[in-house]
Amino acid sequence: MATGIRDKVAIIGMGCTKFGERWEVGAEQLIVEALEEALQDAGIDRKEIQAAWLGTCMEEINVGKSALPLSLTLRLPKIPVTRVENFCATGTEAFRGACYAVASGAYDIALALGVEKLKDIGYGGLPNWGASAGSLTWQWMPNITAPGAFAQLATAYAAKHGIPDQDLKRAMAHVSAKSHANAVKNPKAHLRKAVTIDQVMAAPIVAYPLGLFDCCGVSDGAACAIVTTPDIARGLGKKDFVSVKAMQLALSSGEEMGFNQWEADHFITTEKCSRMAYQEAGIQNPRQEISMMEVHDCFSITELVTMEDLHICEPGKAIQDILDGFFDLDGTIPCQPDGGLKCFGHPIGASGLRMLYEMYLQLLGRAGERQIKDPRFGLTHNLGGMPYMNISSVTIVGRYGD
Amino acid sequence: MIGIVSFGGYIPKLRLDRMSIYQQMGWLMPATVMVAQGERSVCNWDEDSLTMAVSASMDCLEGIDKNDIDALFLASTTLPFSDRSNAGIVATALNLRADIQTADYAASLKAGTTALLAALERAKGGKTTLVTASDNRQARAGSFYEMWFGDGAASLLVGEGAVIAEFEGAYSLSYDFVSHYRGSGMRFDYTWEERWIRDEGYAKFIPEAINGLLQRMGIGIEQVDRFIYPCFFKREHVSIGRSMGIPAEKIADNLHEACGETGSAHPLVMLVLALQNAKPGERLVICSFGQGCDALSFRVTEHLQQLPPRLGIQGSLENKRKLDNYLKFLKFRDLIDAEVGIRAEAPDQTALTTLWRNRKMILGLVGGKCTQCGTPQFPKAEICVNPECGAFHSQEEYEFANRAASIKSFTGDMLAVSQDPPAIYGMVQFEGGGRLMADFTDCTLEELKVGMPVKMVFRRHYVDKKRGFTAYFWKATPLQVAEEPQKETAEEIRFDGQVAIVTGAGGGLGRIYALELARRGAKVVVNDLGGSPDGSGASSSPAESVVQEIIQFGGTAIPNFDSVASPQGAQNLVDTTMQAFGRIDILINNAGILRDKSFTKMSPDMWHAVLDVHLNGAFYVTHPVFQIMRQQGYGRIVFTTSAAGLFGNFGQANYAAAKMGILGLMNTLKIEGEKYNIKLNTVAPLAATRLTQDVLPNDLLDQLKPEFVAPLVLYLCSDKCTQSGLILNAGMGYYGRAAIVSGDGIWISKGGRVPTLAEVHRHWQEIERLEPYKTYPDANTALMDMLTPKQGAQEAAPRPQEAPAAQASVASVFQRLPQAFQPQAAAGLSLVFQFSLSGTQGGEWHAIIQNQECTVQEGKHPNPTTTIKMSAEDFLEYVSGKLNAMQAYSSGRLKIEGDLMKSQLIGKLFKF
Repeated sequence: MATGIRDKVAIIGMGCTKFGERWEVGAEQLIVEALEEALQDAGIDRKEIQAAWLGTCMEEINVGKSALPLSLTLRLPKIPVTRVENFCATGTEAFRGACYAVASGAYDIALALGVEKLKDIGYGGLPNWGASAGSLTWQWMPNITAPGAFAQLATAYAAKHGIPDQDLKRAMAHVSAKSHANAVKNPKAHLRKAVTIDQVMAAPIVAYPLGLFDCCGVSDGAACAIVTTPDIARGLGKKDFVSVKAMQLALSSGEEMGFNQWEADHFITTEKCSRMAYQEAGIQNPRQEISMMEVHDCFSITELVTMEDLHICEPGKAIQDILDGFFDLDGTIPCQPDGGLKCFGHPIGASGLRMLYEMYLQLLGRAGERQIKDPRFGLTHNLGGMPYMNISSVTIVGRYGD
Repeated sequence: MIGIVSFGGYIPKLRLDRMSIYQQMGWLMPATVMVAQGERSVCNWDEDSLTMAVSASMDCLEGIDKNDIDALFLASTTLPFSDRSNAGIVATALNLRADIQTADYAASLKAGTTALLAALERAKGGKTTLVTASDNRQARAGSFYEMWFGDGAASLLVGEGAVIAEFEGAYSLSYDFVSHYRGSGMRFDYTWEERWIRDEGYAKFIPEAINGLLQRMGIGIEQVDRFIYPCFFKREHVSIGRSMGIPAEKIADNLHEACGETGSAHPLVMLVLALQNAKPGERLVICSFGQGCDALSFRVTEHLQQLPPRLGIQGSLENKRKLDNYLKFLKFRDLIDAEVGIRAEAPDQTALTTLWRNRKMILGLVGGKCTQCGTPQFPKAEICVNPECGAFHSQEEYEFANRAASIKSFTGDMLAVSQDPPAIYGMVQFEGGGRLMADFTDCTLEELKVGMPVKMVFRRHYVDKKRGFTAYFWKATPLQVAEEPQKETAEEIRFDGQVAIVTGAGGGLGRIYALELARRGAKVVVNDLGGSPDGSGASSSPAESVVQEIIQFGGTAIPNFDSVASPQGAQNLVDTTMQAFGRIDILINNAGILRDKSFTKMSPDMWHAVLDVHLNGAFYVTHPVFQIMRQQGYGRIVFTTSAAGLFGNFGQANYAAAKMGILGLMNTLKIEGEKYNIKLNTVAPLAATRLTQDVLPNDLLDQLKPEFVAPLVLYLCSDKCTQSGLILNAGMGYYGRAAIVSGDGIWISKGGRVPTLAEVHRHWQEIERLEPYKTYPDANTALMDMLTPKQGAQEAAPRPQEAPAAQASVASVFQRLPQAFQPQAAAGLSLVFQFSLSGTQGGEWHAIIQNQECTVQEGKHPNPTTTIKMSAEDFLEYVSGKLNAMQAYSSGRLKIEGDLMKSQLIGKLFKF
C-alpha cells in the first residue's frame, strides 16, 4: 500500500524572478534569473543537476513545444529533461516530476522549473483559444474565458447558500484587498498597491459578478526548486531544511460537466485532493494544524470557495471567516502572504513553484516584512482548468522531521 | 385528401422601430418617412435564414412524429451555403431520418410557394414533406428596402390524410420580370424603379394568377374567405385586391407594421398567421410574387382544432424585444466595420471530419442515454458519466433540443469576444438528466437568475469569414411569455359606481375614452351628434355602435344624440344622464368640428360654427354639470385644447381661438371649483382622428393612435388626480405639461417715473426673456408677484406652481420662520405676533421680534402686539403664496386682533 512521499524529498534551493510585465526580457532571461537564485541558495553547481522538469503552459506564445527550451537555455549537459503541462497547475506538475525522481532513487538532485512569458500576446488576459482548443470543443463550447468560467462559481454559490449578491461581493472584495495589502510587503510582486474594499467593489465588471480587482494579474515570470533526498541534503551541510509532507493531484472525471449532481459552486477535485494530502501528511485537523497557505486565487471567488474545499471552513461559512480576518496576514491562517496570484502575479507555468517558494521562505524565516511567526505546515493549492473540469493539486511542506 | 398537416412560424425576437431607422438615416433619404410605420423584425447577430428555418420547423413539428417525414424542402434567397445542401443542415438539426430527400429552393421570392407546390405533388403519392421558407433580407443602410424588409420563416408539413387545410388547386405564372436581381456573389439587390414594379408587376401578376386559379376552380371571389399575397407597398397591397373586387376585410394584412416583408417566406408567413385565425370551412387563397406567381387554394378542415398549441407567426409576433440602437442593427448585419480586437483573431478553422463524426451532436443536439443506469448525458460518450455507473459503450441516442431545462450557473463576460457584449453563457441543466455549458441568446444579463427555465435554440456558433463557413450549435434562451404591458393589478385605477359623460364619443379619441372608462367600471353616456367632420348632418349610428361595443364586453352605457352647441341640447344631455344614472362624476368635453380657412377667407359663419361647438359647447355642458358636481362635492372635468391653439396653426384662426378660450374657462373654474373637490384639467392630444386625417401625412397616422392619449385622460378623470388647472400634451406614449408662463421681466423704473420708449427699446432683451419663468395659480398671485419689486433681478428661479411649503406641516413652517425673517426690515421694531390656527394641524405659536432678531415659540404669549386667527390650511396657503392676505381678511377667512396696522408688516418681515 502506497504511503506517499512524506519526508522523502528535501528542498535545498529555490528561486523566483520578479513577476510582472517584464517587457524587457524573454523566457530565456527569466529562466536564468530564477535558476541563479536557486543554485546560490542550494550551494551547488549547475552541472550537479541530474534531471530536470520544465513546466510551461502556453507554448504557442512562449517557448514553443518540448523540453528543449530548458536544456538549451541552461546548457544542461545532455541530461534527461521533460516538459510537463497541466493548465495552470503546470508548475506543480514540474515539481511533482522532480520530487518523484529523487524519491524513487532514480536521481540524486533534480530541478523543477516553471516559466511563462505571457505578455507577448498583444492583448490583456490569457490567450483566446479558438480552434486550437481542440477540433471538437471549438465546435460546440461557448467562447469561454477564465473570468467567465470562474464567475459562475459566484452566481451558483450565492444561489445555493441563499446569500445576497452584495454580501458575497463584499467577502470577495475582502479577499482581494487582503492580498493587495500583503503584496505591498513583497518586492517581487507584480501589483504592489493597497486597495480598499470599496475600490474593489466599485471596479468595472470583467465577467459578472467579477470586477477588475476580483481577477489576478497576468504576468511574466519564472520560479524553480532544486530537490534531493534528506540524506544528500544533510551531506550538503543543510540543517533544518524544508521537506515535502504531502503531494496530491486530482482531475475531473467529467461529472461536473455531464452529471447533474455538482452544484456548480465549488471544486469536487480539491475537496478530495486535500483530504488525501492531509492523510499523507498525517494532519488530523487542518484548521488547527495548517499554519499558512498559498492557494490558487486566480479569482477572488476561487479563493473563497477553496477555503471550504480545503476543509478549513464549513460549507457556506467561508464568508464569515473571511470577513473576520481569519486569512489576513495577522489572522489565524494567513492566506496568500506573498500577495497570491492576485498580486504576485500569475505566469502560469511558474505559479505552482512560486507558491512553494513563499512557503519555503516562511518556513526558513526569510520572508522579511511579511514573516509569519513560527509556521509549522505550509499548504499550497494549485489549480488548472475551469470549475467544471479541472486539475487540482495540494502540496504540504514543513521542516524535515517535524 | 392532401394538404397541410401542420404549420409553424418564427419571427426573430428583435424588432427595430422604423422611426428609429428614420431618425438615424432620414437625413440621407428623407422620403423613407413615408414607409416608416411600425417595426421590422431583425435577426439577432447569431441568427440567419437557416437558424430561423430550424425554429419555424420545430414549431411546425410540435406533436408530429418526425419519422413520418420523407422530405425536407428549404426555400430561401439568403442561404448561407451556395454549395452544401442547406436543407441537409436543417434536416440534421431536426434530427430527421437520413433516408429522406432534401432540396433547396432558391433564387426567387416565389421559392416558398414553389417548394410548397412540389411538396403537394409528392403528397399525391402519399409522401410527407416538410416545407420551410426563411429569409434574412439584406439591404443597404438608409434604403427604402431596409425599411420594407423583415426577417422571418414559416414552415408547413404537407401530406395526405388528416389535413388541417385541404389543397384545392393551383395556378402558376412564370415571367422574367426583373423587378430586382442579385447577381451571384453580390450582397444586395439591384432594384428597378418602384413605381414600375408596383404597377406593372404586383398589380398585374397577382390578379392574373388569382383570377387564373379561381377560373380553373370555377369559383368566384365571394367563395373565398381570405386572400393572402405579398406586396410591400402598403396601400398598393390593398388596392390590388380592391381592383379585383375583393372586399378589404378579406385581404390579409401585408404585416408591414408587424415585421416587414420576409422575402420568399412571406406568403407562407402570412398563410400561417391566417391559419392561426381561421375557422373550419374557410377557403384561403395564397399567391406569391417573384418572376411570376404561384396561386394556391386551401380549405380549412375540422382537424385544425386538434393541432397542439404552438407559437406560429402570431405567437412570434407577440414575443418581441425592442432593438433600441440602430447602430447595433448595422453591426449585427455586418454593415459597419466595428472594432473586435486582437482577441478575435484566434484560429477559426472548422475540422470537417470532426463535424461529420459529430454531426448529430453539433447540429442536432443529440446526446446519449446510458442503457445501464438511465443517465442522459451530453455529449454521448463511450463511458457513462455517472460515477456510480461507468458502463462502457452503453449509450443510445437521446435528443436534448426539446427538453425542459433551467439555468444552473451563468455569467456575462466582457472579456470574451462577442458581437453583443457581454457574452452571456452558463451551465444549463435538463430535467431528467444531462447538462451542458451553453451560450445564452435573446436575453440580457439582468434578467437571468439561477433556476430560471430556458429552452434550446439553434443558432450560429461562429462565422469563419476567411473560408466562408458558418458553424451552428445550440444556445439557451430564457423561456418567458411575450413582453406584455404590465397587468394592472393592485394599482389598477377603476371607476366603479361613477358616471361619465363623453361628448363627441362616436369615434376617434372620444370613443376610446368611452370604451376605456366603461372597461374600468364607469357608466358612460356616449354623446355624439353623428355629424361629418365639418359638423353638417346628423346620424345616430356612431354613438349607438360605441354603446354596442361597451355592452358587448359587459359594460354599461347609453347613447345621446344631442348637439352640445346649443344650451337646450347640452341641458338635455345632462338631464338624460341624471335620469339614467342619478349623478355625474366625470365630464370629458371632447366634441369638436373644423372649418379651416385662411383668415381673409374665413366667414363669420365659419367662426361661429367652430366657437359654438368647442367653446360654447364646453360652456353649455359644463355649466349644468358643474352645479351637480358642486352639490356632490366631487367632480373631474377634462377639456380638450390643441397645439393649434397653444402654438398657432395656419388656417385655423377660429379653432385656435376656441381652443384658447377653453383654457380661460378652465383657469377660472379651477378656482371656483376648488372648494368642492372639482378638478379640471385640459388635454392637448396628439392623435389621429376624424379631424386630422385629412391634414396629417397618412403615414404618420398609424403612430398617432387615440389609444395613446386615453391613459392620461383617464388618469385626469380619476380620484387619484388631485391637481387642477393643468394643460397636458399627450400622444404616441409621450406625456408632458404645457403652461402659460411669465418671464422674470425687468423693472425699468421704480418710484413712479414713467419709462421712456427708448428705455423699452434698450431693455427689449430683458423684457422678452422667458428664463427664469414662473407659473401662477391665479391672476392675483401673478399681479402681486410681478408688481412687487425684487431685491435681485436674477433671484426668482423657476418655481413650480406648488411651493414646497404647501406640502409642509404647520409646525415645520414655524420652525423655518426665523430663517424667513428679514432683519433689515425689522430695524427699530419690537413686537409679538400671536398665531392662533384652527383645524387638525392647528395650535398656538408666537413670534417675538426684538433687536432685529426673531424667536418663535409654541403657545400663547401673554401680551401679543397682534393676533392672527385663521385655519391651518389657509395659513399654509398663505405662506406658499396661494392665499392673498388682503383677500382672506376681506372674505373673513383671516381675523386680526390687536394692532391691525402692525399685521401689514408680516409680509415685509418674513419672506417665505
